[in-house]
Amino acid sequence: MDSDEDSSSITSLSERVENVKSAKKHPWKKLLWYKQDYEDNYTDASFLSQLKRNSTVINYSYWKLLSDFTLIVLHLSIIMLVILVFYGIYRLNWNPLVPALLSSSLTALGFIVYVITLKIRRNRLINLQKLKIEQLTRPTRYSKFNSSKSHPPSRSPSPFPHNLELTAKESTMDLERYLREPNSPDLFNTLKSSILILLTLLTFSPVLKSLTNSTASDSIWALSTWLCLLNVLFNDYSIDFSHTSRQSESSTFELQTSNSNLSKNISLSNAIVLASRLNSNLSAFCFIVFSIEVSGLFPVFNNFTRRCQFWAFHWFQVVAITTAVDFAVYKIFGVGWFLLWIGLQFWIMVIGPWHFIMLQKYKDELQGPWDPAKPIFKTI
Amino acid sequence: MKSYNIAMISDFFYPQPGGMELHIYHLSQKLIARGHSVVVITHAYDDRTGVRMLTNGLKIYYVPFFIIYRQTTFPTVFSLFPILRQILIRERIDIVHGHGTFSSMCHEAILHANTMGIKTVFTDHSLFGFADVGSILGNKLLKFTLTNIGHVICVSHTCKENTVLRASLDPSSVSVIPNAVIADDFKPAEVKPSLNKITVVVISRLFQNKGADLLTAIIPRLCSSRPDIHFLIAGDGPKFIDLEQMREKHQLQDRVELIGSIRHQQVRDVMVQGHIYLHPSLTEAFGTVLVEAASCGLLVVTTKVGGIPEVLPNKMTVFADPDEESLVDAVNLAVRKLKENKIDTSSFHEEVKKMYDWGDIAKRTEKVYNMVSEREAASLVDVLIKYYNCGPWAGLLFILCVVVDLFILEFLNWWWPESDIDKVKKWPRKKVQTGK
Repeated sequence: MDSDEDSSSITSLSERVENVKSAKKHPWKKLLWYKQDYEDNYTDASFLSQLKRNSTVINYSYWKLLSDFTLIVLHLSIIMLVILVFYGIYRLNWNPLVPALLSSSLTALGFIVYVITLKIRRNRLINLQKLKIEQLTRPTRYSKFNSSKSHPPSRSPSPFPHNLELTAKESTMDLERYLREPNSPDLFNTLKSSILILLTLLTFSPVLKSLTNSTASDSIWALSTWLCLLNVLFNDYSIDFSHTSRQSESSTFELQTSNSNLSKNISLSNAIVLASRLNSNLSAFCFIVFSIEVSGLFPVFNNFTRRCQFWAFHWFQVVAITTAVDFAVYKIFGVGWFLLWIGLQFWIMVIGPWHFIMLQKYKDELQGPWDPAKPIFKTI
Repeated sequence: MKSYNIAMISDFFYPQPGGMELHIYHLSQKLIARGHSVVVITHAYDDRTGVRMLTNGLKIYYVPFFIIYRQTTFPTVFSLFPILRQILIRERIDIVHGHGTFSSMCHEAILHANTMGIKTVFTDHSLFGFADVGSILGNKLLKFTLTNIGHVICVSHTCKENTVLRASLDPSSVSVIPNAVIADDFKPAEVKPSLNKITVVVISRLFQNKGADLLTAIIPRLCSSRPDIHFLIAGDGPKFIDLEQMREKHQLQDRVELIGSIRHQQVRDVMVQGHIYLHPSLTEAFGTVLVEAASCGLLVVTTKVGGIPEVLPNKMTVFADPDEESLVDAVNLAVRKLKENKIDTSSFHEEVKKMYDWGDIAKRTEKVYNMVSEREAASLVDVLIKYYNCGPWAGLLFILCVVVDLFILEFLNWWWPESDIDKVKKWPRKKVQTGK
């Protein structure tokens, strides 16, 4: 019998291979139907020869990761902003109208930017498609000129010159995907539904205010802490949004809209739970409105800016919000908390990517004939 | 020759049909024929509870157990122990032989048998990847079970490579013993169907991993390029609708026959209606159905995945890549070979009969049992060290489970001492001639 208790399998394996060589049998074959003069537990030297390791490893760049990790910091800052405003209204007797009005006006501004950008991109897309149709139907110079003239504002951003039609074809496809955005929302309907939501909130704010009267404040703080943690965990940071693959953009968009609701719901429940501690209807209402606008609508807007690749604007948002929150933490909670908060941000932004890259060396991905094959289809 | 009392343990056994069930049944029968005593322990299937006797005194224990998903019992780690101990002591079991990675009952039984000092063997029937969460958890569980296993049996060499990696085993403690077929149940047709109309048979559960999508893609192409080709597809599954739609769309109702799921006894009758057996699967540990098809005298066209390349000799098969184009080419090649009489399928049956035989499988399994029972048990400390080396967290967790199991055993020994448990009378048998 074999010495199975042997601790090091490799030595026993090589010994066995040696033994076989000396015996001069027929070479072993990896076949089941063929009766061979070997023990069933014989291990050939070709064992695991088809094993592939780490065939899909990606080399991450530190700076790219850092910019991705700032999204986490941004999300944390948003949550912190809501907590800060709550603390201000609850403890420091701030006027609740100020944050609510401020955030509402910024939201309105953001909405206008959103709608205008969508309109511009839509026009560009229509133009592109027109151009493509013209190219397909062998256009004359005249009709081309005519069509571009009918849309004077969108003519200038067209990225390719008139005469390079063949090369333009491919970039048109690319650009078309890049420009693909949902239709801009109907102004009247948006106004109607936002007024409806505001009125509902206003009606319910007395109820919300007295919702947790019978619960101790400590339980509420604990609950809110948990909700914030879950919010951080379940948020869809949509990190690889338009960095990597433009092809799958439309599909990522669908994915993104369908997945990101959990953390939004959690932040809304957090707002309601906290609002129930406030002592007037107005402050409860204002706080919830503020919270919805900051933690519900702003991330959508930020995603949108990234999707449109307005990188300067995106970085402006990140820097403005994080520094504002940092400053507010310093002003309200003092130096100790401020240092802790800054430390946390630093840890996530600088140490996080570094640690992530360090962890890559432990990556041990095994692939072999046992993996389900990926079928290749000719037609889609 | 020594005769063992063997307990086969798996969540999967008759009345549920399937490859593993078949394997356990036939292996047990052949082991009984070789003079061993075999019981099968599985969980209760609906009203099938208690103890049943099958042919030749194969005793089945249907243990009441909570089922969560596709006839798999709920993994509770310890809850099976009391009743399992009763059965193992009653039947004076020497060797516990578990089957199937998905069967939590088998994992539990191996743990408890090790605790009780009974020798253990495990047979792996399937292939797993390493990437997704399910596989990672499954592989950890397998590692836990196989850390203190006596010996492991795999159904193909690819399966062995896979299992060795998944459970970090010493390759020499893993044997490769394939499945087999009852060749007499898969005799070729008495009258060969005419070659004017080529019939391609597919018998497979219609799932994505069985290559149902590839099948849907190639059928219209083959039908349009070859007017003499017909398809006969048996099996049911989520992709059945896709096939039906394809048939509607390309108006192939009279050339593609979908007969839905069939019983295992009917497989032969379906197979002998065809000339070619097509197997587009994307993963397969062994592929018993290929052997059955070859035994029925069909030329096998199959994808070259998993353990399939090891199963049949080249002359019985036409290999393809899991790729639409390649499969179409392979089927065309197979048809050409048949039409030009380049291949004689009539000898396949006799050859397969020699290659795969349950008697031979039982003999080889018996060798494993001998090996296991001769080995001295490792001391408890050595076992615990082995478990500890499984991983920083997993190691501690494994040790905890093992130690708790030991305490449970002590409690059971005190609560219901071994001497109070009745031993069963073994099934009376005639003097059997053992071995050839």
